[in-house]
Amino acid sequence: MGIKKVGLNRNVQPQTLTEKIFFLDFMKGLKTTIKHLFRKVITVDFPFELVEPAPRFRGVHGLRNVDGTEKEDFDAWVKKLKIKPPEMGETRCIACKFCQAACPVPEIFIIKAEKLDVPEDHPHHGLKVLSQFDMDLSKCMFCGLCTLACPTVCIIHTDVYDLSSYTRRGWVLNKETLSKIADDFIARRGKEKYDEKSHWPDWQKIWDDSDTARAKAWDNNPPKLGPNYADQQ
Amino acid sequence: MHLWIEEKELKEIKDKFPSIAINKEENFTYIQVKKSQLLEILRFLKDRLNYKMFIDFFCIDFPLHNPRFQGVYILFSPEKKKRVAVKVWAEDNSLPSVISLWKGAKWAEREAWDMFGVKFEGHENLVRMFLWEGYKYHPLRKDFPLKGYEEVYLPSLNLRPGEIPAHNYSPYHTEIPTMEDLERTQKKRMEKRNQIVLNWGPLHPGTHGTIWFLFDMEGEYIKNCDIILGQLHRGVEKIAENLTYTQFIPYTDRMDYISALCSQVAYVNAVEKLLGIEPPEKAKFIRTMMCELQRINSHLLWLGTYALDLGALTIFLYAFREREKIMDIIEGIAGIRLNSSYIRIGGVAKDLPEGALDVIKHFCEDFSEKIKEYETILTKNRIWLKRNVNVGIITEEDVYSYGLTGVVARSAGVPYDIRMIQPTDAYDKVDFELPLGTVGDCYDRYLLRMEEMRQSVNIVRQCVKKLEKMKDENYIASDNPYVLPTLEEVFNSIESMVKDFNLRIYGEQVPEGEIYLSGENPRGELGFYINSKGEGRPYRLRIRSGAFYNLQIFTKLIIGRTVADAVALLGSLDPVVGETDR
Repeated sequence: MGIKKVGLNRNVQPQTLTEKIFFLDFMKGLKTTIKHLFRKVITVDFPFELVEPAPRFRGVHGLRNVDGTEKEDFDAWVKKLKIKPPEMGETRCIACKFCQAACPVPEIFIIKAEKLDVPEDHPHHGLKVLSQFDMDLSKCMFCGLCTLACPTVCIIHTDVYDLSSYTRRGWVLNKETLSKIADDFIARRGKEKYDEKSHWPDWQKIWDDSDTARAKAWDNNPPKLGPNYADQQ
Repeated sequence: MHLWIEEKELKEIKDKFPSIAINKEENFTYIQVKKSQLLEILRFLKDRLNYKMFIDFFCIDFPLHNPRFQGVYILFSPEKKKRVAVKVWAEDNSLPSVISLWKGAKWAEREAWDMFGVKFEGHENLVRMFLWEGYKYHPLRKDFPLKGYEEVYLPSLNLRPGEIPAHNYSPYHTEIPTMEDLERTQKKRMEKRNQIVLNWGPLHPGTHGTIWFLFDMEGEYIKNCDIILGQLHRGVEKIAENLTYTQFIPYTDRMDYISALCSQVAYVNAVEKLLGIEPPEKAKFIRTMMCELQRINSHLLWLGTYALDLGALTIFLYAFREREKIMDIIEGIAGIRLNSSYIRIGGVAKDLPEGALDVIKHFCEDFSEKIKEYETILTKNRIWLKRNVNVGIITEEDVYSYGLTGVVARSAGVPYDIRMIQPTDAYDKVDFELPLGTVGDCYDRYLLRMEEMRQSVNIVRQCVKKLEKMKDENYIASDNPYVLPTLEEVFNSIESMVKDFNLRIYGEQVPEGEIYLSGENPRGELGFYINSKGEGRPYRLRIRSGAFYNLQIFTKLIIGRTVADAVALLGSLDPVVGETDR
């Protein structure tokens, strides 16, 4: 540790007479810019060429459906909250409202569960189903606290990032839309993000290193990805 | 490491003023004084004991106490590297103004008047700081509701008759300023004495955000200046009082949105000290590494926009090329490019993903060359020299009087860097140099930031080297009862699940106490004062924003200069409105 003095006449010498007369300062600068003329393009041609978001990217939320990869204690949670046992393709949400409790802006969520209207001898008598799950994403900060609080890995972040809408209503997503977003995401990138018990593995790649669009943004010289630690190499 | 005043000096003050009460605690040491003695004691602290640097002033509301408001002054001694806090009760809702001692108190006192309604005797122009003239309430008082008073009817413009509004939409809104309000605000700030009052901003690309400048001009020269802030005021301090400590982390991102990770680390460090949590070694190095990457990111944005303001468009494109790479790294590690909310109380949210260190090493390799590229274009360019050299000279006296921190203070030759004088995280385990300016002009601040980027790359390299050997170490101290367990722990044990549930719903039950701790933001000292009453939410959270105090000197430096210099000067002070307005 130490102190380093900087300033004109310290680590930068003022312009010399030759530099002043022959405009050497401009020449040197122009040399750099001219060198860039012959470099490859680094801008990604956005609507025609897309960079795939990193696996940890937190985009628009989704509500996962039951697909056989639930956590081990999923049934116990369903029983505890008196929810009708969901079948394949139905939502995993058990209306516990943990996401709302963890959220810094709880007004985002409207979560309601209704009792099933069935006769007394029916096996589902007294059980509830999720009737409403609305999220107002115009208020969302995408901090990810809700997804960490979810006990059944139902609410997740997907890699969808285009949220533009002409009206405020367009940012209010109901449970059908959220389910569709999640299904689509899991079909595309589910394997990369979750293992067979819906756990989120710690060891993921920072991003897909075969992505050509991202390689372009990295000066056409993308880093090679290997394990982080010395003893793994 | 604590910076509070020593016992010996406290005794010296007690001998001189026997009526004061001294409260010495590990995290916060203060002197409780009477209002009538306040100025005398502050002058004694400043002149005799050398506590000459003004750090912060703020108020706390105790509705059941009489008198209701308490003012807190935090001072710093640059020679001894110690802090002292002075508390005083505002009898009759008023306090004596300390502008005669420190000019930096001017805005802080205006903010206290705006937020709490405490009057200041002897203040030169006690008007509102963030809100407009004519606003009825003082929002940080405890009896003001979080949502405000929703009394203005503002129906949706695109709602057709008979249509049901989406979600929980309400047509009633809190009060918003009208054109008359804004006109009144502008008139009250500054009197027209010369030829014309020029409005610069609030929406002007040169102001880097929504700041509204008023220039009283005589020809081309500015004779008087004032700044209207508050267009981005969101009441972050009020929000904090109604959230748990973990839930507030995303809000700290949104204050200084260009260096979100630095703000998170500063906040989380203060909470951790208060809770007595020691984060694991690996988390400390990850935090330091991410902070320094964010600092490079922030300085690159500054370089690009600053050069753009002064006419060098090329640099803007080159700087954003490198910035994009850091954004990619932060996105890959934390999840979001800008407002990452990656730091958690007790560690970090997730371990480094595979390949993260490779990517960072790759970035560091060619970044030094890129800095050289920027410097060949700018440093000796005659236009750059003409626009920067000897513009906006800051003296050492200004630094202490206005409470300037960060690069702005260092350009005047004051070695004030929180990373050095109070190292948190792994800053005491890495080696770096502190660049100091000699003149204090815009050119020095440019050179300083370029040098800081080099030092940051150096720190990042050292952190990567250390992290490569920390494979199996924990990244969050989740065995502590106040720290949220990791996802795997929640899935595998019922105790962790109960703990997770309790912490999320009721918050961290922080023991009663106070703390002031700061971090070195790219914009200056970002300090967090937290007053806890033993509940899951802070009783009062004060954010000492570096940009807020740094911006204040603009009004002094610009006098006698032209509008063209205003662009250069504002760029070199580098305020971020999210942080000045909070």
